Amino acid sequence: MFSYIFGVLFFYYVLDPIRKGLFLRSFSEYELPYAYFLTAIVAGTVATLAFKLGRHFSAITLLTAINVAIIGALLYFRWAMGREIWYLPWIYFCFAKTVSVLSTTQFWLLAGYVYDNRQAKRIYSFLGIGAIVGAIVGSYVPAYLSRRLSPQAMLLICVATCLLLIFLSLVAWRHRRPESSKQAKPAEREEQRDRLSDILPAIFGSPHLRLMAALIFFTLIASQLADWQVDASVKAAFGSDQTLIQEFTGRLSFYTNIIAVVVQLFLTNFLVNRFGVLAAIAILPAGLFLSSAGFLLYQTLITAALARGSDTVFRYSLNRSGLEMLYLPLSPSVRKRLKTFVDVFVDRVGRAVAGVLILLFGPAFLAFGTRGTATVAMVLTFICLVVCFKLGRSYVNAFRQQLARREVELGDVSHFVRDPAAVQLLVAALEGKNERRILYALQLLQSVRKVDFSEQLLPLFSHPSPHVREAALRTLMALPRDYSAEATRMLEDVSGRVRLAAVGYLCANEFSGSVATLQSLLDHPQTEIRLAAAQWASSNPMPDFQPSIELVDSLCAVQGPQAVEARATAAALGAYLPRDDSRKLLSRLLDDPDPVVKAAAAKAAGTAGHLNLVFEVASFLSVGKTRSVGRAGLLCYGERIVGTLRDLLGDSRGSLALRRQIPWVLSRIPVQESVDTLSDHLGSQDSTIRLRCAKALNRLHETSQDLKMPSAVIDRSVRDEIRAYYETLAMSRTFDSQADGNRQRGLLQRALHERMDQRLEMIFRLLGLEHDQRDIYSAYLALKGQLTDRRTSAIEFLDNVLHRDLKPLVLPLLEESNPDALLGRAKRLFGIQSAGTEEALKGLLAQNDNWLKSCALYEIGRGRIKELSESCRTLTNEKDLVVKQTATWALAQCVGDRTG
Amino acid sequence: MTIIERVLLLQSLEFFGGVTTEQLSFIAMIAEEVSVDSESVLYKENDPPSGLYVVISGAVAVTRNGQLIERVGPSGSLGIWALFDDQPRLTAAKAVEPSQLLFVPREDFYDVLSDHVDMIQGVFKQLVERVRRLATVVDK
Repeated sequence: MFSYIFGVLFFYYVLDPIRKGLFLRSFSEYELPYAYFLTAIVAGTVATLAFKLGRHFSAITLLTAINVAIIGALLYFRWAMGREIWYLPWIYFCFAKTVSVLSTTQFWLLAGYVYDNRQAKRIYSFLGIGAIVGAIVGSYVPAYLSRRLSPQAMLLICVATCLLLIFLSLVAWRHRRPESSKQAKPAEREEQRDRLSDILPAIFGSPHLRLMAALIFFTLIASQLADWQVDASVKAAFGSDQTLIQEFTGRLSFYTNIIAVVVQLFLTNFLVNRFGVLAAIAILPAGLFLSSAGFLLYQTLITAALARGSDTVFRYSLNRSGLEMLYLPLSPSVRKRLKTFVDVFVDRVGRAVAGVLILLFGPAFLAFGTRGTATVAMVLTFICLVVCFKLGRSYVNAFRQQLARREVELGDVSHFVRDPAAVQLLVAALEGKNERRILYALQLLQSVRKVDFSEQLLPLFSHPSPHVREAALRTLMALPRDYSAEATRMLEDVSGRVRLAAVGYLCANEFSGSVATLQSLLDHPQTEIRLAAAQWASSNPMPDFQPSIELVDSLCAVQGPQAVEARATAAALGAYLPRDDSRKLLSRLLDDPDPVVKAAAAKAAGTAGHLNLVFEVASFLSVGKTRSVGRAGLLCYGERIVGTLRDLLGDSRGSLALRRQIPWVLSRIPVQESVDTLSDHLGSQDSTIRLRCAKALNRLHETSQDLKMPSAVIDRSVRDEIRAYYETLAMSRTFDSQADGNRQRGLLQRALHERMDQRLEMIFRLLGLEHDQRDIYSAYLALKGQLTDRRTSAIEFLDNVLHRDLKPLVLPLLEESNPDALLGRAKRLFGIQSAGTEEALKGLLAQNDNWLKSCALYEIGRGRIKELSESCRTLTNEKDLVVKQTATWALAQCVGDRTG
Repeated sequence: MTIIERVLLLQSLEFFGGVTTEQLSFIAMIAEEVSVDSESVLYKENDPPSGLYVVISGAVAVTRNGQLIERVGPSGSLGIWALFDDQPRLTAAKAVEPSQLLFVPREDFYDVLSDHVDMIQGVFKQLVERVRRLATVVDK
């Protein structure tokens, strides 16, 4: 991923100076605003198109397709650059800008598939370095090689880079998280729900958000003006010499990127920690203000470059950190709305306003030229500075309010809480009386670094609430000094969770935490402390630590109220024992009478990958009380268990109760083999297995779009289900026509109608595997509902999406309200026709559906249909209790024994 | 009573309206037949909830603080909330004539639900319907 983002930025910084060189060679700087407008339209359209395509194709397919399209476009530009094509500078201008947006968006999308939230926190800063290095190396090419390399040669370098990006994306995709598709989808759906009309009232209803939006808006206009001023000065200095323009633009990017790295590495943290959010957000407008003033006084290429340079240097270092901090006190939903507003509205309108201002000061209107734009930039950045001061105050207020409401989403906080004012606020909350508020502040303070708030934190060790004491211990790691002595004292705490937190600090703190500390705690004479240390070791495996069998045995030997907890901990540690010891221990603990110990042993067996314990773990699925234990254990095995699950599901002599649970487990293991196994059982004789396989496939289809659903099997299953639907309909018509309102006769009819409903559900579930599942589900709900309009729309929708071979089979089931007309169709399509009562009952007795068989037997007994008494006699030996019992009763009714 | 006959009895209960006949057979399998004499107490006020009773034959009086609330006859049910609520019973029930009852034990009912999760949807649907009706009554 590092190489990928390096490549993306490298590629952009090679392309960008060519864009400026090519455009300014052919057109005046006052044509640039039109190019900005055109770019806004094209980039917006392409981004929307990519987003929509993303709903139909997997991320990797889309990413590869985009990279292939870029390569195609690059080859076209390489061919076109030697020719006189008047529109070439325009389309290349749009292309270079659009590609930058598209490539970086696709990269972060890919990163979202590869890293989870916790990894993201650690790795994204590293990826940021890849981006900056890519930008520096990329800008070096036009900066210092423009005289040796033609633009065509540079484009070929970009083609090669793009090919490398395709390769890297495919490699990265192989390492994606299995659950990533599931997480990506809801976000996409939510994205669609954000409409400007919903966002605007939220933004303008809050002073803090208004100020944030204003700051971003005005700074963006000023930046765009500064960018244009450089282009205008470049045009004035180098005229139409494309090489010089490229060289200058490349060098400007090269040096500003290097300075940006230095600022980011050495200045950002210092300024933010020392002066807070105000310094972070005010430096960019201040820099732009001063450089614009300089440009106004001395209109040279150097002063223009300074203005542009200050924008590049501060925007991606200090300003970005500052804005992230401003987002921090916002709830996740508000933060998302504001970001959408900035991306969709502020960015486009800001660029459009800048374009209009440039045109306004151009020769066609006021003719003030760059002096006019510099003056406007100064005015705007001055407003920004005022806004910054107001934001400094509103930020603390917003933080205070959110703290009271506990709305800051910890999982989404990607940066440490660094603003001194915010930290002070949190520290002050520790001295309050509200327990929930203290806990909340402690959670946030766990991210703080290099701030000593021990004076407020340490007294919480004697807080009456064990939750507060535990959270205080977990926060100890944030302090800049060693507090092992205090943590050691807390080992004596009455709460097990507090003791566990104390062990955590002692073993993992940066000053004295080590395996030796853990070992000494495991050898502690007090059982409670030994147990806490063992619990910590089982959930925080250390590379140099392997538990001994003696330790595990000593835990198993613990008696009294902690016995269960100790055995469960022993089971969890069992996953890290030498293989043979581990297997023996876990096999024993899987038989433990306590479900907590069983569960820990099942999970440990899965974590350690003991395939010879699989059947023991799987056997827990059969019984309701241990089912969750079996599920959790099997899921810990991951995809290596799928083959065994396939065997269990396919073993028709095995326990039906167990087999019926296998689809649930498979649906949580998103690999192709799970799909294939489930598909193979869509035709199972057991209706519950059939339905659960379809449900499991629906889940896999929803959560992992890359898995391939076997169309041929699904088509066949849809046809089988439709045929079965018609067969059930034909039988139900036999009994419907004889209905006399008697409730007992109604039992068979009701059971048949229920089966038809289940078949219809199954048909829709299967259709959902081949089409957009949400749309098919909506259609199903509409058809089940009473609203005529919705039913009509649903049928119309299905008429449009279903394959033409399926339409004549499926649509009549939904459209035709006359059952006899449907039966006529059943006869034409499958040769099915309504039979006489006896024949229909015989048919029901001959099929594999035990419940319908029982209802048919009841019908025979109730009607005393002597002609079918032999069939009843045969079924008196059935394994199924209901069939056997009803057959015995029916036989007795038929032969006249009323006591049966 | 055969399982099928129990299903026929259970399907007459409004509460099981959202449950399929096959699912009712699973409940029928765990149900127990109970015969009681007249004046036999099925449960008292503040007893722990044990399950649902359905009257097969005879009649049962449901009382609260000694006041008759309802007389439940054949195909009627009593103590339905005991399936879901672990709070002590609010009412008492006593047979007013020799009666035969079908008893669905609460614990076994949960086992059936966990084995046949598809049933939960049907049961919840009726439960929500009841709550909604109660809310309407309160509003009035």
